[in-house]
Amino acid sequence: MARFAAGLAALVLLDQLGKWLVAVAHLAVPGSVVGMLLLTILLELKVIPLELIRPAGELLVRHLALLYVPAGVALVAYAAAVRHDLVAISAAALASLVAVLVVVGVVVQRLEREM
Amino acid sequence: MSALLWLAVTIAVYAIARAAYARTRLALLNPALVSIAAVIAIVLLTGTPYERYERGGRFLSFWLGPAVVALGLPLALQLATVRRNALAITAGLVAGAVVGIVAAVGTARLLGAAPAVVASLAPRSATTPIAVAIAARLGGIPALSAAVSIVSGAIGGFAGVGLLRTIGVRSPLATGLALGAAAHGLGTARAADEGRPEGAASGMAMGAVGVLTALLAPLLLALLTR
Repeated sequence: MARFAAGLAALVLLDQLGKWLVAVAHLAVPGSVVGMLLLTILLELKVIPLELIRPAGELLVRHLALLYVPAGVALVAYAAAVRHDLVAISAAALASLVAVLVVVGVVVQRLEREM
Repeated sequence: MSALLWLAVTIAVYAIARAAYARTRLALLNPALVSIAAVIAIVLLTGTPYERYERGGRFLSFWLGPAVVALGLPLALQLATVRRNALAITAGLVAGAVVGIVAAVGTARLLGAAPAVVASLAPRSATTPIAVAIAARLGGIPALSAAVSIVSGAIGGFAGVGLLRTIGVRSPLATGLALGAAAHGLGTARAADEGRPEGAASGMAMGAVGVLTALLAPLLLALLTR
């Protein structure tokens, strides 16, 4: 329980640190992503032990979908804008999905064979 | 209704949606999508303004930031296992992140979408919590980015393996990375069904592409919408 609380506190602190760095340095990157990079580096360098973060981190990641439900519900306020551009939205999302699948699949398979 | 009641409603709806998905395993019953649709229906039926719902919802939204930070955990765990193929992986994921943004923004611009909509589509390949954060910083509509990210991820998880096989991609590493990069969470779930190497590759691709998209989207969006 103490480890869970400490892990949760570390995640909240890294998120806040990321948001602060982004504000100070005027970066266009979300603060939480900076916090994620900091965590990855700190785990790699073994500054933060993996076992400290694991219980709290795995709980948050498992229920990630619950955490963005309120953000998704905000769609009610934009129904008109979405309906107006529905064709463009669908086409753009599909084009991006297919392009990423093909490019990553082909590039990795080619380069992997050469090694 | 009070803020705490809306918080309870959201958690209850999510718990039911998760149970329904666990029982049926239908891709259509994606818990995130079903929860959002069901809560929207309740909000509309009760005539609740979004601002009032959000006073309860913010207790969940607060944890999105720490949850994104926690995505560094699987990333760090899998970095060690994929170091051997570092060049192929780096080249593939950087190229994938770039085309993911360019294809989405380019198509939306071509079809005349409004600027806020175009900005909302730029983070399409990022996993939903990261896409929401990117859209907020780009002047997009985070809710639209969430919906686009979830729906396209579900389609990628459903049809991605078939498409990759059709174009001749068979290597486990390439398959896993492509699914994680293109369809994030749901692609990773599908990749894990294929096998352990696919699942691990997909998990790291999801984290890495989220970060790369966060770094590249502001630059590419500015270039493409000049």
